[in-house]
Amino acid sequence: MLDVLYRRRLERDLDAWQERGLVTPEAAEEMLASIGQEARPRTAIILGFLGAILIAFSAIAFVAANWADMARPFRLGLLVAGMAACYGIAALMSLARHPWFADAAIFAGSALFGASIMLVAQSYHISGDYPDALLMWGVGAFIAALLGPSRASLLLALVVLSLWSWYEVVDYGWMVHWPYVVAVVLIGVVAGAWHWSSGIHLSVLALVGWIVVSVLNSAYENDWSAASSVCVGCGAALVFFALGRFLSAHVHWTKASAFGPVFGIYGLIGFLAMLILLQFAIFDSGIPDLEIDRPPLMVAGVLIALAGLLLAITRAGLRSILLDGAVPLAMGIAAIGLSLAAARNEAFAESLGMQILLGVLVMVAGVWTVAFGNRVGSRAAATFGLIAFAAEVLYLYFVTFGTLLDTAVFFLTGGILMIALAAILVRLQRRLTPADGGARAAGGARA
Amino acid sequence: MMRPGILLRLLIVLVLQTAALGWMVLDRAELLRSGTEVTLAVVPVDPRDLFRGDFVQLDYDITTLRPGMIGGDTEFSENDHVWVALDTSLSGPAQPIGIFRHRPPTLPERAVIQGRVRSVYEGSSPVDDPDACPSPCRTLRVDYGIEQYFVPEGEGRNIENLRDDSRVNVVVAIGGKGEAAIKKLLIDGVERYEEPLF
Repeated sequence: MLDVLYRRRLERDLDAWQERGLVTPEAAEEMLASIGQEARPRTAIILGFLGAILIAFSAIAFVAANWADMARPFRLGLLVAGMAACYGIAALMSLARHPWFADAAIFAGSALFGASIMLVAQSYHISGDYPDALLMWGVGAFIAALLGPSRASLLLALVVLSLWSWYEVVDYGWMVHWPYVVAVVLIGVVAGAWHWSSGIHLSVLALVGWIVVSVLNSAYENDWSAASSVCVGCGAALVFFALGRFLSAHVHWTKASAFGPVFGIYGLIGFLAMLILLQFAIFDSGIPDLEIDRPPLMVAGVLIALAGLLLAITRAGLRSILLDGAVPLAMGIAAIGLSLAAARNEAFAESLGMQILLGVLVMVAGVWTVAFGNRVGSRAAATFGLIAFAAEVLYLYFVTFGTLLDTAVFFLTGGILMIALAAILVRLQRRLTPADGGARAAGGARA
Repeated sequence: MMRPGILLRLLIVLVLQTAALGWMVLDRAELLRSGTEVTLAVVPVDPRDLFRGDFVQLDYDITTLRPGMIGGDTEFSENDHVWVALDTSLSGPAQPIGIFRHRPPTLPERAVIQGRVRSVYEGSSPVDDPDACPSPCRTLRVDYGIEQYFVPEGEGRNIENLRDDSRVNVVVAIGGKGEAAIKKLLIDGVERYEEPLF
């Protein structure tokens, strides 16, 4: 669908460029033809995948029915024969230059493998090692994905292994399920090697989900306060951001550089979200306790230090390092500092001063994110920065609603601060970017 | 995407996946064939699993244990691996005679089954028999991996409805490491289901 939209846009642009004499009609023809060649029979592919998914569900229902009229070994044999047929069809499709149908057939094979595992578990009434069965299925699907190659099977492996990790945490008492990281990294490496952007996004998102579950579970088991859990999340988000900057800047020797922007943007969004959450954590979920919350706050500090280290080795020159890292790192440290202050002084924790300081944190981070997005040409970062800023302004307006005069004074001060900040940022940007880079940055701002 | 060896690569996938399934089957068949037979008393209930269909949830007498009362170790927490020694010398179902954090030696007329502590709770003594468990009465719920008995669609109710006036016993096979598999289901002492090896 996106290809169609892109083609329409390109046609319009090419018409305009031809009128201005920027491209010749021949060149325009060739450009349009070049994307035409990559078009795929999308409807057929989608139908093929839907067919594979239906076959998978049919196998699962067949197993669940536990049909007594057919002997168990025969049922298992039927499923294994189905697997063989799927892989056979996949090989034929691949040889006949239908890679997408081959992909769908391998997916169906991996799904039948899972159904077979469930059938064996059912036949022998195995109830204890449910996660182990999912692990076996996930590994099988991963191997099929790797050797196929099959994107759909890789996605199946990611889903099944996520379920595996979830059961290990929920039913088997893992507080932080580290083995899942190995699985996600392996899947991510394969997706990266295939230049498969959705796969890269999904594996990074899976890692985000793992971090959220791990932090929440640790907080629950150890009675951490909401504020210190949010600080740990903030630290983790900054590590993501720093890792993203590092991968974008330095890792050309592998295909890992494709992960740079993905880690970067999820890190930034997470960072802003955590700062916004921090005010709810401090005001609505109980004040941190110094004894219990020291370890998580230390973890958050270590994570922020790690992010700082990554940012420091990413950029050459003190100015670039400061421009990239100073504001988010300072805001992260301030988040920890305010949580500590709240733990030490209950009156301060509930005061308007705390509210305003937390608000300033979000606003500064939001403004910095907008500036950062404009500088590196990331529209998503700029947008999220603006959203965070606007949301924070609205929130502060609501909480300070009682005294409209105070609100007026607060916003006046804020407005003057913002304008001053804007002036500083413009000067900084001019001084730091070389002449041709300036043009690029301006282009990024418009994009 | 056409490459030489696609047949070979997918054959490897098929062989590996089939071998994994075969290993699962043989492992269980061997346990059923050679494991020690132990009879356990149960109360069945009937839910349904997303992937594996209808099953009867089996609540064994040895699912709920009071460590202070039956001997062995006393300190346990959730998700600990435990070994429960069973007295098999009696004519009826086997009785728990000890719960241990480490595997105890096997003795004649005694079987050892491995489980995992699902929950630990402490409460007041039972009202009807305070001596059975002095307060604080510490109770464990233990999973042995044999709590689900999968049946053809619709048959779960038949087994569950028996429980008020019938005795349901399960014969399990216990392997050398304490792992257990369901072998037979007895209702009022009569074999109702017997599991084939394959």
